[in-house]
Amino acid sequence: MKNASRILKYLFMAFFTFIAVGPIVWAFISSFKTYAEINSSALSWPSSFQLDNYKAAFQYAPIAKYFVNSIIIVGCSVLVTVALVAMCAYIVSRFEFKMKTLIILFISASLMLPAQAISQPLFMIFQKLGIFDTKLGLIIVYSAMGIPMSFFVMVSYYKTISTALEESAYIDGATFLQTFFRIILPLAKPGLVTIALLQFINTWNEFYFALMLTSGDTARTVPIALNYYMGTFANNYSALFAAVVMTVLPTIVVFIVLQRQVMESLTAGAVKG
Amino acid sequence: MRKRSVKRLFAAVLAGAMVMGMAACSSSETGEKDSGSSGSDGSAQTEDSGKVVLNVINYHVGTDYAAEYYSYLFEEFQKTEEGKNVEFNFEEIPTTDAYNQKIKLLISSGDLPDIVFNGGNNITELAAKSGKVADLTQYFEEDPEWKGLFDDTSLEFNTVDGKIYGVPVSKEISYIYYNKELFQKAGIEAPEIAYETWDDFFKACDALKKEGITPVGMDTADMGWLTNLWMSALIGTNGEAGSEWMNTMYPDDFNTPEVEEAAKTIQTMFKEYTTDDAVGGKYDPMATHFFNEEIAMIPNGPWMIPDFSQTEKAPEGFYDKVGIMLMPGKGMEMVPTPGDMVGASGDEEKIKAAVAFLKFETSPENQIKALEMTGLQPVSNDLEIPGELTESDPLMAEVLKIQNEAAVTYGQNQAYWYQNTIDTFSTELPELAYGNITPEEFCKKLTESAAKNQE
Repeated sequence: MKNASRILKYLFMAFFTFIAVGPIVWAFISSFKTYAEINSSALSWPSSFQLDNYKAAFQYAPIAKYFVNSIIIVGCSVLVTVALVAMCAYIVSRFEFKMKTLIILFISASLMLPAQAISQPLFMIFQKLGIFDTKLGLIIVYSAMGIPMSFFVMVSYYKTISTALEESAYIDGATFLQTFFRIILPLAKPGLVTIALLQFINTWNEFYFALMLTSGDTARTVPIALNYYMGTFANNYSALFAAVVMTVLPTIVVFIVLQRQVMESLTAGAVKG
Repeated sequence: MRKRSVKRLFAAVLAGAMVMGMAACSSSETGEKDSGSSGSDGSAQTEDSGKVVLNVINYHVGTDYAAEYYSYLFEEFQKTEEGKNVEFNFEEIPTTDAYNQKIKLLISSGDLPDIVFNGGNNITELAAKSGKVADLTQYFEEDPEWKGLFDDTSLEFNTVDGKIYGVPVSKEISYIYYNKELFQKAGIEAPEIAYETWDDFFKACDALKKEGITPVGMDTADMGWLTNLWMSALIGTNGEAGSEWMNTMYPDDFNTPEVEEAAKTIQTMFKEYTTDDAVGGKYDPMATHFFNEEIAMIPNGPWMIPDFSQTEKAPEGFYDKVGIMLMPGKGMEMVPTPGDMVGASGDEEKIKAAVAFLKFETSPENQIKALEMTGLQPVSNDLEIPGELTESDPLMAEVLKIQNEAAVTYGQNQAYWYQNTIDTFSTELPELAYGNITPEEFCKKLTESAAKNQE
């Protein structure tokens, strides 16, 4: 009975591991296949492990440049979002003040704005401000887009941290800033990592604004580069898979590095009343 | 105490570095910006060098079927008398879908490039009515030889309120490609030109099915290109009324007997004659089915021909297995393409240079070059096709021959319908295919969708 349960547990884990890792491994294997091999069988093994598709990926699209742009834009937008949300959400979760409801309402309302509805005003404003087709422009948009969701995640997270800790700190003579930076922020690390991760994934994959608010190679990001392999009536899946493998790697690496904190964050509060 | 000061200093330096970095993100890029949003640097008409700078948004990039041809075209234009003083400022947008998203935004904001390509969707009317593209009528009138390259239908197609806005660069035709070997396997002989009737066509489909061969390729996603071609043919070859309807620009009543009948046949085709992945599928995997000899017939245009001999896509020798026939009743989809336009920048020099490029693009030599390099059909009717082409590409030669046999020609939805109706067609096709809605309900949804444009 015990063995059966263990086998079942391993089967269950193997199944979910397969679902999670399968597509990545499949994309990796496909990145070595020729176009004909991809089309003839999705699950076949490549005839050779040559790097021709990786060379082709660089040939069709300025992928290296767009990759660097993505790193800078996504990195900065994550930093900005985390920095602003960490402070703003703390105040909202802990203190009562005038207009608090209104602020929350504004942040909630911004969640409902479709990208298409704001693209034209943004396009024109950015041109007037001289930040059209710049990394800074995209950093601002992505940070603004990421703040509402991250804000609500962090507000909930701060509520799981007992106020007794802050009260003790104040009794011991700590200032407000000391309490926030030395007591609260270290405790909120898993929550901050979660919002950083969510922001990273969302902005790494964002396509619409990266297209609308740029016009050259200086600020375009990876999702646009991937479109280069999908021309009218002429897709190059082999190069596309190679490009996908190269561009998906950072997301995986970030997750691997931060996974402990993310898991902690996701499970934190699960057993609290 | 000292430790705290160091920390503060460190934090201040970090914050400063971040702010400066972000400022640099902006300022350095503004300096190095090589392709401003088309109209954003409208003042850059002529540079210090005295050259006219034309902003172009080019979607023929990456793996696009015409990427190599357009690269050739831009380069060669600059070697001509009219083009030697022209410089291009490119914005690349891979895929027509992305291009259409962006160009619509630029039409609304008035920041159109100097050369406005018409990418897949017909944006001529939208652009013309916005007043952001130049009226080209006078340029046609001033150059009768150039105007003579286009027939009336092609020019009318690009005319809005009596003014010509678009320069048609090719003609779009489509018909059926079939696999000769699969037909042979099923013991049926393909007609020389076309099946006389749709009944004959479906008898052939039944024979193929009996041999375990899937007869036709269909799709629903990405505006349902293949299904659109079948449906257009079913309507267009259904008598005079059907032909007239399928040649009507922006139809608004889809509940006609011909359209409803066609929708009913499409429903049957989904259920009986196509692959399981047709519902939800798009063109690409369906083309792969044809290359892999898993389906016997696929409707498409001449731009597909180069793929037959590309061993990366199709097996060696596949080109020789492919035959061509018109739609049943000798029907052929033939529409003038939405033409390329010129942005109304207000700068006469720029407009003239852009028109010169469009003249170069549509010169007889370049129409032939486009046919050779991409399979795009010449927009002019009486061009002499070089003998070498018929020898090197017999299928293309057959296309040029068979199109003269067409008894009926008609349009297709992506050229003639309202954009939102095309979208409705694509989103409602799965419902029709699964039998969740009747053909009449399907047509009603299209009618309702078209009506929104009248409001």
